[in-house]
Amino acid sequence: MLAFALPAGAQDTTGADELQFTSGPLVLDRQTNMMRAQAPRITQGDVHIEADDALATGFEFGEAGEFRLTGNVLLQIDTAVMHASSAVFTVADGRLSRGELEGSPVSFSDTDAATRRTVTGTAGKMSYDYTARTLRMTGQASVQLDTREVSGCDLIYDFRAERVTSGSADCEAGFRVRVRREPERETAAPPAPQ
Amino acid sequence: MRNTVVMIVLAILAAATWLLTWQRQNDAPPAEPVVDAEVLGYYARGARLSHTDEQGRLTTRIFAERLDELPGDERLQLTGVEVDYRPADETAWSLSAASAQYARESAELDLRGGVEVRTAPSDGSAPVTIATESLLFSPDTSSAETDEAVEIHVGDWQLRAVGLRTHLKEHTLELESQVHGTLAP
Repeated sequence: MLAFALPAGAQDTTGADELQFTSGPLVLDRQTNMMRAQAPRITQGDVHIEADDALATGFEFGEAGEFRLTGNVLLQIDTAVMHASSAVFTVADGRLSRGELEGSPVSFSDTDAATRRTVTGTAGKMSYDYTARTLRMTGQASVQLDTREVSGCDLIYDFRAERVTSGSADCEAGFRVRVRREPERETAAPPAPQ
Repeated sequence: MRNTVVMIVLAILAAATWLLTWQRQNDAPPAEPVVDAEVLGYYARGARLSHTDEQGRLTTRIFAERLDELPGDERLQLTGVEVDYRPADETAWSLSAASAQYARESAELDLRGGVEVRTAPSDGSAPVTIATESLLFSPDTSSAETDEAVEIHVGDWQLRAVGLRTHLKEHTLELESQVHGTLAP
């Protein structure tokens, strides 16, 4: 599961930041107050979401509502891209406020536009902080950055600093770093968590 | 003798007259067929029509600022149209349009120009407003459909799409393609 939070202060309030929704065929049910859409595309600010199907619960999204997405869920926030098989996005006060993504596993990748370096990762659970631009991964987490592969049960990746640190959770697996110096030789180096 | 001459002169004159008349008939153009006068229809101002369901219950009231019969056609031309659709035990809908053609046999209404469909349900479900340029509405089947662009307001959503199919009694609205929604709380 991946979860991210979008604080209201992180997004401007201009018309360009409205929650926009496009889709293929859509069925609106007035009795259940739900909308079911094929090929939904949801955008707000620099957040872009796609999926095969969507179920929107409630028409009064100004107060609160949910998008329940299934099939090939794609979440793109700036240069970070995440993939999942299903997701639930909560909308409050007209804004995407939280998202929980599920998959086996959920994956992400991010490419720095200036250095062209790419970082990828997978985990059972992830939490994305929009303001801090950090991704917290719990469960069987793994991050690949250049020749290093960092694994653990609680990792935090900082997109700005391109650095992996240990989270606060205690676990048996600990925090491990494997450095691939050559394809056939690997060196295990368990440094102390920062 | 004098009488004989007079008779001959008269005979010659008669023959000449007949000959002249015969030539004019040949020169004259064929006579135009008699055309029936234009078929006249009727019209009415402030017309009211009503439609009942299979049980004889009044479901649809139609008001038109002007109603024109279309001679030779099974339809009526309506201008300034307002429709009050109240199916038994169901949510009421109101429809309005600049004009419409009303099929006498099927009671279908082909609404045109500034079509607006509204409902204000009392059962807690969300009010819906539909705007489009044409809509085919059938009171018998409770269906309304269009292939034109539509704009829908429901709750905090403003939806635009192309093509609409709906059964007003079944509470569902199907937008066919190019759906674009904006959250406008």
